[in-house]
Amino acid sequence: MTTDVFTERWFGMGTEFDRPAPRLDVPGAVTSGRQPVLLLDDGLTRGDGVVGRFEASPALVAVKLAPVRAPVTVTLRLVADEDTSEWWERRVPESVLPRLPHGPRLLRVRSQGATRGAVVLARRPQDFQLRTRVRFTFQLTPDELPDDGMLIVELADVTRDLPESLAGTLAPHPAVGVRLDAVEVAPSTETPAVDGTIDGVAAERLGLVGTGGPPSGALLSVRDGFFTVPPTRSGVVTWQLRASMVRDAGPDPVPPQPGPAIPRRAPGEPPLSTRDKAIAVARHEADALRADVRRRGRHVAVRALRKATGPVHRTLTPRLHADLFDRGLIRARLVPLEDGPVVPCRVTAGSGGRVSVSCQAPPAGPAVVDLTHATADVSALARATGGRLCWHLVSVTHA
Amino acid sequence: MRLQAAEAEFDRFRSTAEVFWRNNVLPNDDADTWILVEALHQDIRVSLRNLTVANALRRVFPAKLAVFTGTDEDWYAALWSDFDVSRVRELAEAYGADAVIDVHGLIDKRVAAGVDVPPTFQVGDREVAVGTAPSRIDPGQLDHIVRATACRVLRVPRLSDADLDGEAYARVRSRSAEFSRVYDAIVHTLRPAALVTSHVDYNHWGLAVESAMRLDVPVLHVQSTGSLKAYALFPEHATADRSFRACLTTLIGDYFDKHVWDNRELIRRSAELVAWRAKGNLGRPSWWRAGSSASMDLGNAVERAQLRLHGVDRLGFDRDKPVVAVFNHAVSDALNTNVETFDDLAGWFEETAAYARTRTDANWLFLDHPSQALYDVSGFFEGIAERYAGARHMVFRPSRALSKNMLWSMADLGVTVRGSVSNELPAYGIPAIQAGWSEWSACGLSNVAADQADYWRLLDTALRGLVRGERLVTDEQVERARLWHWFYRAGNDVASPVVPHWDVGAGDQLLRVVRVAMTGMETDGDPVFAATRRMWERREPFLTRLDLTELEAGQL
Repeated sequence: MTTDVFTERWFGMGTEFDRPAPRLDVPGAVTSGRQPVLLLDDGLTRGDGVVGRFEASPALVAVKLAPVRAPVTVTLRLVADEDTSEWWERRVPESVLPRLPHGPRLLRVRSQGATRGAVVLARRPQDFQLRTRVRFTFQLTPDELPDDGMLIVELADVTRDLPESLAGTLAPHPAVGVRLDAVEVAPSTETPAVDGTIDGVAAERLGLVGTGGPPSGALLSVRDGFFTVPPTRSGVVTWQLRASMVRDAGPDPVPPQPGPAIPRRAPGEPPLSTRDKAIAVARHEADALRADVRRRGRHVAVRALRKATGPVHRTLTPRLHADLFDRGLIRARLVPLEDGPVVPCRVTAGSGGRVSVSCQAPPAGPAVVDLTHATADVSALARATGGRLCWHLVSVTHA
Repeated sequence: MRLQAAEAEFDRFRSTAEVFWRNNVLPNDDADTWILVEALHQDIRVSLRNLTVANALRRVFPAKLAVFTGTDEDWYAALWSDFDVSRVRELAEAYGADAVIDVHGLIDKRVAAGVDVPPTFQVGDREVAVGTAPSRIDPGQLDHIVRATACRVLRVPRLSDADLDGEAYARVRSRSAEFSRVYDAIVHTLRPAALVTSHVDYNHWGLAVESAMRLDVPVLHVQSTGSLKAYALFPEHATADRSFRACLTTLIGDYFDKHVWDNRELIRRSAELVAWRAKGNLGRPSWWRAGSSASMDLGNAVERAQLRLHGVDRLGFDRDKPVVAVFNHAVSDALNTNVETFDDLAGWFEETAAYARTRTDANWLFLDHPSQALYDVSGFFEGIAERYAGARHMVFRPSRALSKNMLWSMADLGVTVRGSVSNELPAYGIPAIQAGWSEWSACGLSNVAADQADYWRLLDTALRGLVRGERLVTDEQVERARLWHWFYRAGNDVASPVVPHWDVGAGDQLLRVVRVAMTGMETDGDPVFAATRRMWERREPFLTRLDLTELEAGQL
């Protein structure tokens, strides 16, 4: 028996008043929640200049496409920003712990009933807010897009049990607050087979790694200690990484929800005089101003400290270097996000803070490479200097 | 009273209403006929509807209005946020009340008086003697109402031994006995032409209905939704030993067959439009849902199948098995007020879950009622969910965890006692099983269990059919369900400017709209008056927007 059985006997939700849904021509893009080709959503607050912002996790959108006769490439443009944390704090029930509104968002991307990959959106240690954007692409064949159907794009939580060190840092309900700027659909073009060594920035562009956000200049930083990797056919994959120290700015706390400038009167209460209203508004403004000044003050202080101590922190201390590279305290493992066992990766320390991580058995589905260096020595050092070990992805080699 | 309005607006409204109703009902100075009107609900929209229907009757025959109101601490905790008896009194007087009875206050005094309880009390200029009514409520029936009320105010699915020994239960019991005596006395003394009430359950409403039915007084049950909807039970249509709701279920079914189903050719297009609008939550809003989670956007079977995959995967269901959606009820809501096949709502849910455990040939989605927090403090649903936490084919979720699109893409069968999903799902091709009666359960759109054995048989047959891939819902059921929607939102919903639609809210806007209607429009031929007269004179079981017994093409 197939699932079609549940469809064929179904009488239908159609009425005489239904009208054919407008369709998106291919190539084309949905860039606004007001476009009628956006047939339905589940857990999305639609926007005007963007498709919308997710209010639930998992959540999905469905787009009605013009008939497709050749493979297509679907591109999602996702953003995490200041409002992402605020939406999360306001919408995720208080019973959900830990409270990590600024935490990295690790999401599976699903479409047409199958998982297409994973994305991660994360804050850079030196940022005061989530401030990142990622692009995710996947391919669909024409038989996955029946003429009467729709293109479904879902952002789903990782439901398998993850190693505690990784799970504890991730924001639960990861889609909540994430902004969907666009869903683009275009005919697929021939992609050259990836072989040999490519640099980190190029690998990010090609979707071979997801480190939480775009590179800054020629540097691709692994924003939160792990990066996503797509399924690969076979062979050995090696990631070259370089360590450095970064002072973590710490995220700005999500401000409490502001009340109305003029307090609401209960029925029957005497109305406020104009003078009372003016005082209430002035007090409201002053509170907002004070909060803003506090926030900016902290930013100035953190930046100044970073500038002053920068040269010290950018390089590893000899002791840390020795710990990480000579004593082999770096661990890396490949964690499949759906099925399959967690696989330890081979870690080889090189010179100048370089490390190569290689995996002999690439996963069949999306996975993350999780880097840990949990030793008392490192955390003691971090405490002393306020610094944090950070990785840059230098290159990826497929062999 | 739930009224978010400026004091000045309420005053203007009252003075306009007073003049309006003085001139728009038959003079009652010499009348000896009374109409008994309930104003026990905190929402002004509810009392406004009751008073309007009562006044519409006063255009048919001259009568005096006796309005009963009040509250007590039990109801305060369970339901009301604030209740202001003096405001209700002002509203009732603006609508021409000749007597306003604070019935809760009266009960308080009588219960407190103990053995020295006074034998009489005043209603307007009439002295009412307690204990003179020719009959008394059946003790078993009183006990039913006491238990249902105690469950509701305690917010538990059923009473434990501790509850039965508790203070709250004792209070409900003594107050209920007194309510019954007082309502008997009022109904016996005033011999009202009708009782107009917004609810027919629990002690302070249900016992008034009991007294009225026993003493052959017609009961008009005004609904808290839509424009103006009301059901009516006349003494000649009541069946002994059947509750108000049970009597109505049969009457509605008969009428539906005769005047709605037989007129289906004429109504079909309108019914299609209602079905189309309801998909977008227009005209038939689910009051606990709004926005995109309330809209149904699937256009064909392929789209449904695609979304279904994502839905079943999210819940961890087996893609190749059908999905049965079981809708938990608000577990202390009006227990046993209509025919039910299980002892109580919780029992039905519990036993259905136990049955589901053994039926691994289907995926079972158990959804809680969206406003359960107002009806249960015992964690009933969570307890059952925990009991079956190990069963992968059983998933328990709060109602709002799934959007309507998601739910409808998945549900292959809906199961409920009396929930409105049992008329909603069949209208869109999804079969429904009911373990009890409801307003529409005699209209032939769902599968209604006759008893427990029948319920298990219906479930088993449906599951076997689903697994074989049979279509369980018939074209006729779909059409009947759509006709029911039309009936509920059009045929039986009277639109008039003096009763703005429920969604106008309970604030300044409502008062202004009614005041404009009262000052700016003449009343002759107003649909509320025409419909009430038609129902009253023909002894029909509900208000109708137009004469359905002589429906002609071109009228819709």
